[in-house]
Amino acid sequence: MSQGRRGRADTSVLYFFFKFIVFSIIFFVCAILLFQVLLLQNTQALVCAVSSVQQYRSMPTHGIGKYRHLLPKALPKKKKDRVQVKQIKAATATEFGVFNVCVSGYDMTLVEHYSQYIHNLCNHLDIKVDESYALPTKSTEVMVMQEQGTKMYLDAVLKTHERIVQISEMKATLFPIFMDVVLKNQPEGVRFCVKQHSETDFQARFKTRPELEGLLAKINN
Amino acid sequence: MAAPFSRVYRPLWRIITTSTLNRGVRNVSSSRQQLSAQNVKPAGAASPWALHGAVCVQRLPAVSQDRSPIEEEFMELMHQKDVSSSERCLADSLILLVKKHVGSQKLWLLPQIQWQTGETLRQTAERALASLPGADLTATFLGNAPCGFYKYKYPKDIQKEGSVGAKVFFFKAVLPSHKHLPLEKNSFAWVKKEELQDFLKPEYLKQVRRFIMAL
Repeated sequence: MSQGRRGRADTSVLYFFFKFIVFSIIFFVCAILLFQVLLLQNTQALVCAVSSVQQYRSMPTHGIGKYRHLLPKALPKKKKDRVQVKQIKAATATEFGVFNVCVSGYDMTLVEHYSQYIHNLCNHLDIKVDESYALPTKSTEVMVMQEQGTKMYLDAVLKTHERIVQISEMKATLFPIFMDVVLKNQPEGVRFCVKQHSETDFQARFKTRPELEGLLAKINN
Repeated sequence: MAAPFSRVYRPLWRIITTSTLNRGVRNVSSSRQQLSAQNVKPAGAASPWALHGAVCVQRLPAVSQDRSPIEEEFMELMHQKDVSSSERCLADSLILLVKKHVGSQKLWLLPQIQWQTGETLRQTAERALASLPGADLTATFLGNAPCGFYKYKYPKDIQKEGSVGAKVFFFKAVLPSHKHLPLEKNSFAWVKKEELQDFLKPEYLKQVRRFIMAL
């Protein structure tokens, strides 16, 4: 009898244990599901991802005016490094390499407008413009000889302005058309030429440093 | 004075996106291959089309301002009607046309000459310019790629098995502005784009018009 009772007690304990396990499993599963549901609701509440600020206020419109997190990250300003020499691309069979279109003349408005016209033309035709810069103005003094005597005096100063538009990777088939358009719209008094870009052209833009050169000469000597 | 964009760019896009230029690119690269690797084509597969190179020499406009009425009348009296003078119509760009025997007829054409093996089409065009009788023109060629193309078949009685017709590739060139050379009246003409229709045959004109820009 006691055995029976013990057996019954045993089975009841076992039964109880079994029930406990089942209920615990159910409880955990429900908890997980609930947690996921809550998480989903949370992510739906957060309008734009990538925000480090936690939405802990209860109003759904909390933080509605925030925009700083939408702007691109502004990097801290670096000090200007020395300008590196860019690799000059070589010409292939169907494309030109890097070449400079030089526009020069005495009248600055004409020269500027013509170079701007060429630049806009390239943009419109999807031609890659690497750089568009101006070379320093060169002054030419016009000296006139006096009527009686050998002395020359200054009559006028002519300033030559020069603008360069650097073009790279232009297709060879487009080049004659481009040249035709540019030549036909060349204003009077403006000189136009197309030159291959070279290392010397690049270096000519920099100022010379006489002290450095003097010191280098001293070291070499 | 910069030309307004709309006038120039509509025909420009039509020129760029047509298939003639693609054909031109293929031909340019194949002629270069012929120079570098001599035995690309097998011996027997010559195409039935003879190749010609032609040059479209332009005298660019020298003046951009409109003329006053007195100047207009003066120009009309002096040079306008003389088609062979290269100093007419200084405000427009002019193209050189040559009267040439083609088969049995005399036709007005852009100067062209047959292509010879071993030279690029651009060299053919340069030869065409240099071989013009009486004219000592040195023009600057704008690029190695042709700008236009015209294909015509020979009349039936001349057609043989090996030759069906000819294909002409046009190259653009520009005259230096300070040179003005007198040319023979009857065989040379400097014409504007509007006057081309009085000189060229309609089919030829249709192809030539596509690459000539009137400012």
